[in-house]
Amino acid sequence: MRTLTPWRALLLGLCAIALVGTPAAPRGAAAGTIKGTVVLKGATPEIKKLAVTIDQYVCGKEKNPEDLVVSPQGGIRSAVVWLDKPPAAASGEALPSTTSMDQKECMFAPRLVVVPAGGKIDFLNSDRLLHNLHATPTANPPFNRTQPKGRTITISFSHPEIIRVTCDLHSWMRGWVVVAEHPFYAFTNGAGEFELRGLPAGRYTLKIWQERLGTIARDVVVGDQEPTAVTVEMPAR
Amino acid sequence: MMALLASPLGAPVRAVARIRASVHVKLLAGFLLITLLFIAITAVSLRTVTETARQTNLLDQAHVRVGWSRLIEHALAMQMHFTSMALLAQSEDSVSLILRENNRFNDTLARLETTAPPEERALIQAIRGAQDDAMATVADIANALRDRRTADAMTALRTRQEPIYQKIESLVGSLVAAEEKRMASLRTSIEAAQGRSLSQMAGFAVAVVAVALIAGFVISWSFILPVRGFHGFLSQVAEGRFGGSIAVPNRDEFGELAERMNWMSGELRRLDDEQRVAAATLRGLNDRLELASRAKSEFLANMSHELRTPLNAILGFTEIMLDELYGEVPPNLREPLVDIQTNGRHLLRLINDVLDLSKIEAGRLELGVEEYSVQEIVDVVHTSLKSLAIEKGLAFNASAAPDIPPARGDGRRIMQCLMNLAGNALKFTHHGRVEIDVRLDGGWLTYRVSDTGIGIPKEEVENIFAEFRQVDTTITREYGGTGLGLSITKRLVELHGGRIGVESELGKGSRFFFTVPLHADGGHP
Repeated sequence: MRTLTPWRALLLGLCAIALVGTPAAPRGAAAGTIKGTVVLKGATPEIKKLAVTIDQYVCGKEKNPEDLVVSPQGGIRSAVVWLDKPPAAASGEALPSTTSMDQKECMFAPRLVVVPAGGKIDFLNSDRLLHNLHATPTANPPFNRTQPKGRTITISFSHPEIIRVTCDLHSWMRGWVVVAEHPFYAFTNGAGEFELRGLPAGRYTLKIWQERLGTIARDVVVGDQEPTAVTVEMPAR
Repeated sequence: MMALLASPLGAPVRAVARIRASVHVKLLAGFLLITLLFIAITAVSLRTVTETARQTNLLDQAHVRVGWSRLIEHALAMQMHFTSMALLAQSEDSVSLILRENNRFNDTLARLETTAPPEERALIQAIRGAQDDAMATVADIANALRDRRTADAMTALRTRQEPIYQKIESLVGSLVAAEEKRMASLRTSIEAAQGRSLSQMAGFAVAVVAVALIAGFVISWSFILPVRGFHGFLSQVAEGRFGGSIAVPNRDEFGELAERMNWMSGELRRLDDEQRVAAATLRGLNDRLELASRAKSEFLANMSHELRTPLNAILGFTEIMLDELYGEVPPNLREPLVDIQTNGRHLLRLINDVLDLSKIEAGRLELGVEEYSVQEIVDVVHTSLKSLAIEKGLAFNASAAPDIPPARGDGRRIMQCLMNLAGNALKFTHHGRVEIDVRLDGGWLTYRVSDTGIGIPKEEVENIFAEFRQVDTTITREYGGTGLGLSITKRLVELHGGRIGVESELGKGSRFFFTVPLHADGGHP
């Protein structure tokens, strides 16, 4: 199998946006947009650093858990938002079919990636030590691969699913691969903001998932003119 | 002292003395010098300690690195062991053990690289390069095992892992050897540094002691020498040899002190000379005064003698006239004649007293020492004055102790003294009594005249024996007398080697007494 470098992956992604995304979301036509923010309801939990005892030279002496990253305004990072039942007629901006997830200083970077069903992920290793990719998904085949520095391991995901990826050698490492069923998937930035575009006006149900807070649902009505603003509160638990 | 100045230390002692600085500053400088030396010692020893500590630290680090190198060797062996085990067991657990060991190897190597001295970096880089290959091989073996490709895993082990590990092993071996060599050289260098510091410290200690001794000696002697000089100089002054001067090399407080002393000595000399001149002048004046006084006394003595001759003639002819040897004296002339006689006698007594006093003052009165009887003197005085006592209606008794042997002295003068005292007593007593008594007490005769007269005021008692003194001028007018009696009596008693005194209470009476030796040698007061 041919490996994909991060640069090539990025190029591919850009091409996908250029070819598919633009015509699919004609501005001001029958396409609505949801501009939303996912915020934490309740107090921001205290961050407890994880002590690192092995491979300190590469990994450092402690790590932030990063399983719930909240901005000062309460925005939740890396929450995944998607339409529970996408409109049959519309096609949103297609997600890039190949993306990459690096391992740097013993953390997955980014922590969360979204690929369309049938898409591929290039797993990279920038650390000068061995990592061991390990995942046991239910819909997709499991994988358990030892990875030296500089070697890319590409894995295809055929079925929609949220998959946890770990490293057998570094217990604190967590990565998430979201295999999207349809194009209307988004994930929040550092401020908790997301955007879903190319939606026909109508009533929808949003599903919101966060690795620590679980899944919640939210109904939303989308018009054709103005972007629909949504603020989703996820209760801490 | 001279020996010191002649010695090689004399020059520095003088040099320190000449420094134009206060004693305080000199002492402070001395202490500061020694303190600085101590600070230098401390600095040097600190530097040595730091250097030794640094080298020891390097040694420790080298030791740790050797340990790490050994760990690497161990990790290598363990990887081989776990790989074989994984091949046999074909289990995930044994695979993860290989991976764990490989990462441990990596971590140790990384630590080794950061602390390695520059000369070992290349070696470690080579090991890390080999390790990168080993890492890929281990990953391949692990993945092959998981994929049940045992043959591939075996091939990878034999053809790739083993040669790489041998290479790494030999490189690590060189590293250990290099570290051990380094440790050996560090040990040698530490030992050398310790030896060096020991000799440095010893040298410094000796230098400090020497400098402290010399500085202490020189500074202290620069103070002691002037002090000794001052001592000698002040001894001269104390002995009365003024005008000397002292020279010290010091330009400090001692130098100033020496200047003051020289000035003081000059002043003392000047005062002493002035005083000598004044004393000489006074002595001359005194001699002249004495001469004048004697001339006066001689003049008075001669004069008195010359005056007595015509007065005796007057008194003699008056007496003859009153005895009517020139015929009957008419009654109207008798009274003036008696007046002439009385006043003439008074004048004669005055002249006699003046004559006596003059003789005494001129040193021309000599005692006629011979045996005399005290009893006889007392009797004569009593008899002579009895009529006066009867006339004034006073009780008048005179007694001498019966055990008094014949005495030696000028009986006539003793009698004159007693007569003066008794006469005075009768003169100044208006009622009551006058008593004379004489006692012998241990070779001394005490003549005493007690009265119940007017007494003498306390403030006058001191002056009563001075010439021409009576208690006040009214007394002279009321009682008459020359005022010379007591003065003469005092001089006469003193000529006998005795003394005179008085006890008196104003209005109640007086007691005069004089004491003379039973055997006066006479003429030698």
